[in-house]
Amino acid sequence: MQPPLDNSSVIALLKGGDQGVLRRIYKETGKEFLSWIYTQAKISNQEAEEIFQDSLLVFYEKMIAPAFSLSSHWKTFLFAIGKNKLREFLRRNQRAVSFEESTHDRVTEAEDDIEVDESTTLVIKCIEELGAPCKDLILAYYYHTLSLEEASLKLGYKNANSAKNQKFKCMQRLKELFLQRYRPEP
Amino acid sequence: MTEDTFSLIEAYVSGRMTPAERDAFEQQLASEPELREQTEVMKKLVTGIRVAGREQLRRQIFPPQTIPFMIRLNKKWALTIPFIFFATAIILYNLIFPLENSRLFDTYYARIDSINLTTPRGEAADLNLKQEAFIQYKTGNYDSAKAILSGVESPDDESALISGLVSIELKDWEGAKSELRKALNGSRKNAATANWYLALIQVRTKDYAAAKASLKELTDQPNAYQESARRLLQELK
Repeated sequence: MQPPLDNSSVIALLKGGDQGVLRRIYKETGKEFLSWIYTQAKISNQEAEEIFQDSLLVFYEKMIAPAFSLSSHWKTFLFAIGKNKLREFLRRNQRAVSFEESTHDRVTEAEDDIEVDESTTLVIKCIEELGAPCKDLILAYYYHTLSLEEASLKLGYKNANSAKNQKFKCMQRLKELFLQRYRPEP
Repeated sequence: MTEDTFSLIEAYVSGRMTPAERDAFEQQLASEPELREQTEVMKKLVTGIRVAGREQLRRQIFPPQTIPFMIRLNKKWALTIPFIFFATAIILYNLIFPLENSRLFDTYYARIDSINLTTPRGEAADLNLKQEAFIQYKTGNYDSAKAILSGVESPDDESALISGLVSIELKDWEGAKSELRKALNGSRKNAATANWYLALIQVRTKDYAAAKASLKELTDQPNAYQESARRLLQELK
């Protein structure tokens, strides 16, 4: 049996690019998280599962962000994200929002700040067009927030400088592809 | 754009600047429209990369959801599809079985050629009316036949039989059943005829148990319909 995850190990593993820990959190907290959601709102299993997955992804992004510091237990933080996600879901579906107070309410700083619009969809298409080496490098650096050293080790570049040059070229190519097609709304 | 400018914009957009660096860069942004424009494009690229990364991670970490077929459909279709199946089953049943009944009815049904009409109590007027009604029946004037029969002062099994036969032609199945039962309960003379036509209507209206009982009576004793009744009974089985 694996030892329980504490804050420092969760942060260290996630920042080091170990996605296995995210899979472990998904398995170990799933039941508790879904039970908690069902006590808060009447939603379907599928909707609850989607909220859980979205919460875990935001949790991951927050944990690996360069300037982030965790002031509560990681599980409390995950549930706080879940609460925000559930509230957002209920508001979007025009359902009443009424939460019972619990220890999970103590953390409220978790926010998911990605605003998706047409340009986002276009960028995603352009990334797919770039192909594997460029896609892997820019996702490693910009999404998984790996340093150039970490990215060069993980993706097999000679050194950090080589990864940096390649990243610059990939981003220039991505920008070109994007600007060729992007038509901003007047 | 030079690599240095790119690095600067990138550090700002991806949150890798110190607060002091950020403040300095924002001052620069305020005075340089081209830099502002480049930064806006970079923001869009980084947002797209984050969403692409999130979706890739979702696929890698979470098992594909096995959503039941009915849930994958929206709620409207989840209700509509069983309804369509149910309605189709009913329509098919009613299309197939009535056709089958109609086929049996059409196969065995024939208008009667003659009835032996009598005047048991010497009521000549009623006899004339029954004869006239039967002529109207034979010539296809069913409404006239009905009207004439309504003038019979002492209705009997003969007038009931004619009325039943006319009702069959008018597709008044319940009326025909009622009249033929009256004819069946009268004298024995027309009982077999009334019973045969009653059985046919019972087949036509899917009252199979009653039809079989009527046909059984006909097969049990010699009469003009005995053989036809036996064949129809076999087909019903």
